[in-house]
Order: sequence, then structure tokens, then C-alpha cells
Amino acid sequence: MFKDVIIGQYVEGNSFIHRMDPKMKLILTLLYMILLFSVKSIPAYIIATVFTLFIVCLCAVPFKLILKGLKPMIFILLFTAVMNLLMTRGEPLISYELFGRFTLSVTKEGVRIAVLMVVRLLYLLIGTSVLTLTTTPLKLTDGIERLLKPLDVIKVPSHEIAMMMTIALRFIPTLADETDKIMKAQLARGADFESGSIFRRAKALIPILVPLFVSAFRRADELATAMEARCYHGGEGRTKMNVSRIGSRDIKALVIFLIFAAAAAAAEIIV
Amino acid sequence: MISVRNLNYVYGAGLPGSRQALFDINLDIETGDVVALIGHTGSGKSTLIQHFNALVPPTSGTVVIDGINVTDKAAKKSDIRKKVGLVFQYPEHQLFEETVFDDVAFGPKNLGLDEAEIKKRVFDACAIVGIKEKYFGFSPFELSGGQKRRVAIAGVIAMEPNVLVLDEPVAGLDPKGRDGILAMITGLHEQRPEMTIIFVSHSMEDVARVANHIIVMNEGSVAMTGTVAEVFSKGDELRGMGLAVPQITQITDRLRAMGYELPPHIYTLKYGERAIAALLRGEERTDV
Repeated sequence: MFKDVIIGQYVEGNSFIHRMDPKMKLILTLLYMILLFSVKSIPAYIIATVFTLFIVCLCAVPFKLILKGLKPMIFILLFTAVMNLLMTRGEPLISYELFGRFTLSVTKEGVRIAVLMVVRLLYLLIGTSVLTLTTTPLKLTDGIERLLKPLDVIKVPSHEIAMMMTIALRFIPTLADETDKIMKAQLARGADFESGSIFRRAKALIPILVPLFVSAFRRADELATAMEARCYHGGEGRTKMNVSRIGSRDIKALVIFLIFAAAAAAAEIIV
Repeated sequence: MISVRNLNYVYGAGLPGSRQALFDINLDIETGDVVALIGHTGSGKSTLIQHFNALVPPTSGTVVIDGINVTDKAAKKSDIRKKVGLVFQYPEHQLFEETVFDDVAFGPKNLGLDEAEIKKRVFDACAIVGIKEKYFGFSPFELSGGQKRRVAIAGVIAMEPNVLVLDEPVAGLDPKGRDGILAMITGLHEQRPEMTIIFVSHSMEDVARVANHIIVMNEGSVAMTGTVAEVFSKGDELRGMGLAVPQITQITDRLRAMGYELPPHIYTLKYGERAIAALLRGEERTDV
């Protein structure tokens, strides 16, 4: 059930991207997303494609693994494509009369936007996968904490947010294991999760959800006690064991990205 | 009658990081036997018992229970689960219903039985595990740890399987809770002699007390099978696998090595106590 989800799955490596500072990686991922959604022309997309392939090659994570992570998203991609195909007004290519009242038509603009949207989402997913596959969850949350730090002035609890994220990520595999165990135990008692109407199947999940919640609360309680026993009292005055700083590597990465971004912007203006 | 033939199981077969958990398992378990499954952590005990219930499909090999090939994909899962009841480790973690009665009734309900039969089975199962009627309306979450475990076990017994498999039924319980569960297994065997009981345990004392036969697993293979006496007479081999013989056997083995004459096959504390007491009395007499 969970084998295709690659969020929070870190692939060990020593590539340029692996060694970058998590703060810079987060900033660049954000800028990359903005870039993808602000360009519209084909030449700009070619430049974005080159950049995406460049980071995929650079991160030294098997491409197969990245593709595996895209699998659960196929439905969303298809849905986006179909919606855009059918809902965009413009010069019709194919028309189809529905009940003699509505006209469904695929337009030239629709095809263009559908393709662009799918490409955008695909690159977005690849880009964020590269981020999570090359950064340990611990470093990632550390990066988020550091980026949110300036917001402390307006009372944003940056340390607490980061701690909650760390804990949530840490418990994904634990809860997945637990779900598997409970499911097997209920199957052994004759539970049936696979047949019947949607309503029946939803009801069949109760024997899994109740024990899962009970155990999640128990674990949360135990963890809180264990943290307090080790004198955890929140982020105030807390220092880091490993402090990662922006270095020359990160500046290089930023420059490379900016060159690509400038090229994409130029292409956008010229066309 | 359970027969396992050439059973192999590989975790994550065909993927990087796959690991073989079971290697060519061959076993025969007689109907009505009480069998202890022992082996160090990670020796494949839990993986093996999940095959008895068709919860995991084997990589190769077969498990046949009373003539039904449970490893056959065409076999009806509900028939298999009616035949083999599996109690997981810490079964109290799967309780979910609002009342004890409803939780025990969950299995029988899934079998599609009628109300009267379900009620009868819940009463019978709770009597076997020693849950009194006054608890039927309680929420399972209000009970103590030992009671929760009994309710969870009753939930499987209520399905009246021909084979009952318990994975470490006494793990994490206090001495009183342990005694209760072990006495329950012995009692169940007396009341339902036709039911085959298989249990996983790390306590050699518990094994000696409850089981007739022992299966020893080591590194995913069956290392030894035999009666309690046969297996526990091979103390050195067991120690080589990170296991042991009961403490009383360790003591009597030492005494025998020191030259005292004791009867062979001492595995339970009661018998050992009597034998040593007899030895002491005998020696006193010769001294006088």
C-alpha cells in the first residue's frame, strides 16, 4: 500500500546536490517552482527541461526511482490534462454535441494548455522529489527551521514547526508498519477489506483505524514523556550540534540556476 | 494435520534489498498436538505462522491443512481463516469495538453466523479465557493489560478454528497474567483435544510446562523437531543457536555432572523439585 510513496525516502549519496546546504536547496526549489509557473513559451520550456534533466543527472539518484515516485500521481496528471483539454475556450479542433444542448470541444488552446500543465506538474514533482531524495528529513526540517527563524519576530514558532515536522516524518514508517500489522490481525479474524460497496468498504476500515489511532496516541504520549525526561523545553536557547552554513557550493548552485532562469526569461520576452 | 513442504519465502522478492526469511521448511504437525515454536529473534517464526493462515503467499512450496492447500491462490481465504485462528503478538492492540462482547463477536460475525450462534460462541470463548460475564458491557480499553489480552485471544477462539496459533501469547505480561494464559492453553487442550495448538515462546520453562512437541527454528530453517524430552536433551545444540534448556534442567545437568544420581528428562520445576528432594532424603539416610 505504501511501497510507491517516496516522500521522506532519502537515497544515500555524495553528489553535488547531496552536499548542498538544505536552506539553499529549499530556496532554489521554491524559485524553480515559481519559474515553472511563470513561463509560458515553448523555448522557455525547453530551457526548463534542460535544467530539470541537468539536476536529475547531477543528483546521482537512479532515474527509475524518481519515476516510481511519480506513479501515484498519474491520476492527478491525467485529470488535469483532461480538464484543461475540455474546459479551454478557443478555436475548436473536435466538437461533440452532448444531449443536443452542450457542446464538448477540444480546442487548439486547450491542447496547448493541457500539455503545458502536465509538463509543469511533472517537472514540479521531479524537482521536489530530487529535494527529498537527496536531503535527509532531519536536514530538511533543519533547513525549514532556519529559513523560518526570521519570522520569530512576528511570533511564528519556527522551532516548534520544525520539531513537529521531524516527528511526523519519523513516524511515517512506524505507522505504516503498524497499519500492516493491524490489517493482518483483522484479516485473520475474517475481516474483508476488498469486497462490497464503497460504503461497506469504508465501514470495514473502522477495525483498522480505531487501533491505529489508539496506538498513535499511546506513542505520542510516550514520546512526549521521553522528551521531557531528557529536559526538552522547546526551542528557546537551544543550540545545534551540526550547523550547516551556505558555502561556495551553494553560491555556485544559485548562479547556475539564475543563468538558466535568465535564459528562460529572455526566451519568454523574445517569443 | 498440518504438512508443510519445501516452503521458501523471500521478503521483497525481485527488488533490491530482498531477503530470504524461510529456507525449505518441511514440517508435519499432528491434529490435537500442542506444539511450541522456539527460535531466536528473526529466525522466521512469525513469518512461518503467517503462512498457516494465507496472510503471506509463499515464494515456493505448499502448506496443507486438513486436506486444504492454503497456499493455493484459488483456495477461499474465508475457509482458511475459519480453519486456522492466528493470534498475533500483543493482540490487545487490535481491539476496537465499543464493548468486550462486540469485539469477541467480530470474528464470528465475519463468518456469517446467526445471532444465537454468535452469542453462544462469545460465551464459550470468554469462559475458556476466563473473562466473566460482568465485563461483557465494558469498553475493552477499560480493562487491565492481562484482561485485554484474554479478550483478544477470545476473539480468535470464538471463531472455533481447528488450529490455533499464538505468537508469543505471554510477552509483556506480569507473572499472574502469564500463569493465567498458560493455564488457559492447557485448559483449552483438555476441553478441545481435537484442536491443534501452536505457540511461539522464548521461555523454555513455559514450553516445558505446556507443550508436547517442539519445533526449533534457526536462521530461517527448521533446526530440530521432536518431543519436549528429545529437544531438551540436546542442550549444547540449543545453546549454539542462542537458545537454552529450562533452568531446572541446567541445574540437574550440573548436579549429574558432579556425580549425583538423578533421573533423566527433568524439564519442569515440579518434577525437578521432587527428584532433588528424593535425592536429599536418600543421602541423609546414607549419612545416618
